[in-house]
Amino acid sequence: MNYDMEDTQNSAPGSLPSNQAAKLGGPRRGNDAQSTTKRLQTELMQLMTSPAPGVSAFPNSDGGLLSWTATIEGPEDTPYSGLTFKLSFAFPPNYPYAPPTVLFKTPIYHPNVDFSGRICLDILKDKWTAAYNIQTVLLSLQSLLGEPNNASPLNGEAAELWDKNPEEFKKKVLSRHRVVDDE
Amino acid sequence: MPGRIVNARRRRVHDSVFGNATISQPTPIATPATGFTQSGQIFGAPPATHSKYPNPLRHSAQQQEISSFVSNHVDDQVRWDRSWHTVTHRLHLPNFSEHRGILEPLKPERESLGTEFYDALEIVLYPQEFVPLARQTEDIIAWHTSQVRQHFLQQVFPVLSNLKDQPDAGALLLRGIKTLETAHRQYLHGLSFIKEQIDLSAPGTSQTTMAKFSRDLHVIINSAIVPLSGALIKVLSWHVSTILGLPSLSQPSSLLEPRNCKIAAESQESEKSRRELLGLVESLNNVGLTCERFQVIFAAIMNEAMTKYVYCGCRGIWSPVKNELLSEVKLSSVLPRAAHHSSPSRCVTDLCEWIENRYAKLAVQVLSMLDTKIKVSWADMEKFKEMSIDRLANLRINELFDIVLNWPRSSGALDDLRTAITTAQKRLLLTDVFAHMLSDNLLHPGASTIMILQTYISMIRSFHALDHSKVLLDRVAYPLQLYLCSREDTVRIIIAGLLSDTEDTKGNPIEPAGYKLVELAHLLNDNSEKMGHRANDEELDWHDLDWIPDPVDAGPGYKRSKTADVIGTLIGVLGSPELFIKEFQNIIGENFLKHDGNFEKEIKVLELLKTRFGEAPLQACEVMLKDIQDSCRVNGVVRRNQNLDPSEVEISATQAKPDMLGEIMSPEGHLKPSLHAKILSRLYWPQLQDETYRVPEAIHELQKRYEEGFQSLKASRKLTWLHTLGQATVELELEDRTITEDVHTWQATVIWAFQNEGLGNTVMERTVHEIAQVLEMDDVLVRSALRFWTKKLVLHEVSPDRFAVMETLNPEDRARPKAQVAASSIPGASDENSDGTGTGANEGIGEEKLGMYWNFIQGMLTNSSPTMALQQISMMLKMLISEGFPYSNEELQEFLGRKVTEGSLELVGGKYRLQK
Repeated sequence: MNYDMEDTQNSAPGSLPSNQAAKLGGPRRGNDAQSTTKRLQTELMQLMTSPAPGVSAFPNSDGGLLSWTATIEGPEDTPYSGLTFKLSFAFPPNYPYAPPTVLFKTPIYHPNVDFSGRICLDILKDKWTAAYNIQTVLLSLQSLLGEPNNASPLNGEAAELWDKNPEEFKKKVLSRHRVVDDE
Repeated sequence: MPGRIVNARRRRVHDSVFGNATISQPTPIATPATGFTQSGQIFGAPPATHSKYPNPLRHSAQQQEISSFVSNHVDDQVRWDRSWHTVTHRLHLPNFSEHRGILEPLKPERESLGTEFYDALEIVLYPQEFVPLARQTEDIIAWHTSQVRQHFLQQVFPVLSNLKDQPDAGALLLRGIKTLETAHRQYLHGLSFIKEQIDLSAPGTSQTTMAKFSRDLHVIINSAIVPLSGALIKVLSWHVSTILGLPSLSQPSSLLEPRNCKIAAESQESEKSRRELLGLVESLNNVGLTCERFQVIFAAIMNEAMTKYVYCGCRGIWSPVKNELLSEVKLSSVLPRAAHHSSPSRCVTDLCEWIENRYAKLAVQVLSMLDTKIKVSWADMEKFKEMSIDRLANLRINELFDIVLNWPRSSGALDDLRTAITTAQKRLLLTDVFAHMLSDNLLHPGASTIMILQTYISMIRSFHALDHSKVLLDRVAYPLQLYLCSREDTVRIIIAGLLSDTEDTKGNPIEPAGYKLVELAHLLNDNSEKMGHRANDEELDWHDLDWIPDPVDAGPGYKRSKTADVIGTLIGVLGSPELFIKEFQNIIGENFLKHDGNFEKEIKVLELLKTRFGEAPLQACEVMLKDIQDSCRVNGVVRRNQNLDPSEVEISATQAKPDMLGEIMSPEGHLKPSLHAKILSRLYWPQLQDETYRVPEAIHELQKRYEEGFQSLKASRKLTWLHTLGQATVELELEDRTITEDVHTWQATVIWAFQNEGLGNTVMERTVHEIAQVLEMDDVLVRSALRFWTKKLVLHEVSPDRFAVMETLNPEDRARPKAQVAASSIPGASDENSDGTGTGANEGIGEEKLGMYWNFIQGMLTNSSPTMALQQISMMLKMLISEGFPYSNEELQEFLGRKVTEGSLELVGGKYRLQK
């Protein structure tokens, strides 16, 4: 008797997609929030099936897919090499039609990041399109670490040091970096 | 001491100019102009002598006349002034001392007052009669009043204010009242002389004067309530709560634990408290403290008391009235008109009784002691009751979510609500609050679909009890329905619930459990709820005495229905019919293939779905049912024709229980393999996945003969075999034991491959690869079958991927099987089932998905939180992997364990974390 009880519980993995498809075509479409969730779920799947080296992201454990934490490893040959940085992603309910709010949780000394972790990056603001995703954002941020945009700095001192005194810059980076281990 | 003398002088000078603060002014504030001393007159001589000694000097007559006129005036004025001085001097209030004994005579003492005083008083009181010419006269009463006011503010009030420091509210209040009483007595004492005099000279006129004074006095004293109000509130609320049997009112109601709150019955203590309270109110009334302010305080306390009663006495008490002791007559007398109802609940009745017998009584008693025009009337009591029921409704609305979860044990609370929810606004409030709670408590990923569905069923039934019209339910259920539609497994669970057993094998009813919606099956079998019965002609039922009009807030297109119709609502609302039918098809397909028998439940559900969705969409299911019923017959015929049956006995046995050969072992089964088939019409069955493999030779032979038999029976049709979908009964004869198992065909095939063809004692050994090649079977499927047989202690893994038959069992193994096989049958069963439909067999966590799961776990532990327990990881995986995470916690644990040994994970304090 155990057998059939279990059977009705555990759906066969293969039958699920068709089920899902039927539901998608069904009369009651999910609302906007659900499509956001779907999209984030898909992105998570992508991140997990084809992860990019040096970056990773995952939803926070407190339920809901709208807030994530990401990790970036500092690229080699930059002052940040060997360091890891945590970021927080907060997705608006109309994601991907609006960019996520991305902040550095780990204190970072960088020309385009201010002391509260806010980032000056065009694709997170006016250049955002729905074609971007978490992975591309993370990769852009990773490359931003090596190639800061010194034309519009949030941290003027860092921008100046970057050009004039790389040793001092590196020192500042190391002194500012701290391992945040919340929770 | 010259210094002191100087000081004394200086003070005298100061006093002569500004007056002494402690003595009253000896003359009226505006000193009457007595005129200048006339020539020839002695300066400062008493004016009374003027008339007696007319001025002998040269004055004209006219002058004299004027002078005497003036002097009369002056004379009267001075007399009045003197009298005023005498009276005010004597009546001047002494310094207030708080600790003054009651017996100590009040100043001025009566005996000390001579006739001089009374004469003076008379003059002061009636200046028109005695000194008609005095221009400047004043009212002695007004003077006394203002003197009292000043005295009170300067001397009594500070004393009261200082009392604040006293910790004990009761003692504070008592002392305050005593102080006020003393002051009150003192003030009235002074007045009493005036009153006596008035009574003496003009009897009957003192009344108005006194009334005016006491009114003024009350106004003055009332200001004293400010320093006392804190203590007053404390003492009053303590008494009130004792009298009304409430728990202490001092703590805010939100902090009260429901079990601590019990409404005490009336007792000696409450009577004592009542007496004390009334005494207190009386003394307050005597000193005049029962002003509006007191009434406001009292009203606030009573108001709080009512809320508290509702909160303490009714919270969590949801059970319906058990004993019918309350007679109808009594009920109707207790309940207010607005709450008349055919079945009032216990809480409402209790509440109304409490209001009538205790609450209103106290209010009446206290208010009747005050000299106000406020009287509690009968109508007021009705209002109290309505108010309290209203509060009860608010409480219940806030509890509604738990009430729903507790259905049907909470029907009493629903009765409360039904009694109390009368207006459209209340209904709106109810649905708003409930919808909010629903989304907070239930509609999140943490709640299982079963739980949500169970809650939904409770909701349907409890809201039906609350409001037959379903309007309320529709309002709250929409977000729930929407959410359920987003869950993948909703429909599956409903269908599975409908098809589940209501009784276990021993005939005991199965209690609704966490993993299956047995409730639905119970409902389906319950004849009281007519499935699919729709009383469309209800509007025309003239004999329906309980008819009520549609609720005012019903939307357009509203359709009434009398039954709760849980199943109907679930099926009708969640998902489209196609979805339901598809799911139903899948499930009955599996059931049909796996079991035999009459399929009564399936037929019943099929009928139910037919009434709901119509015959046409369910045609496929009908065909499936017919296939199964037909193949039973065809099977018999084919087998007979092909001489597959050795005897008549065997046919009957197999037809009764064709596949369950465990108990009734067919004679044929001992000799050679036997074959029974179910013939399915391919077009009508859901997609059946099949793994092909080579069936054992003997079976293949049988299949061929069966095929021939079938083709001779139904010439135009062709049989295609679906190897993996069947069931096999396998009997294994090992050296020391015989094992009989009902297994899947592919499992049987794998063990067939181990058959020892040789007669020697060599133990059969096979590798996974060999078996897969020989049987042309999928590697994964082979592994799964091997694992199954290993669990059954038929095989054991001699080296990785190499299995051998365990011909003999050592003693501890022999002891193990019963317990362990039973214990491991659950996870084993789950494997089998995921494999049973032949979709994709998995062994543990399959290699191909392993990488992805590992990425998930890494991502989780890198980003989400650095350490996580097994449960958490499993939950996150289940929640986040869109195609589902079908493995059990044990399997996950095994997988994580592998990672720990690999060194990429470590297990610290029951939590996993990434090895740095």
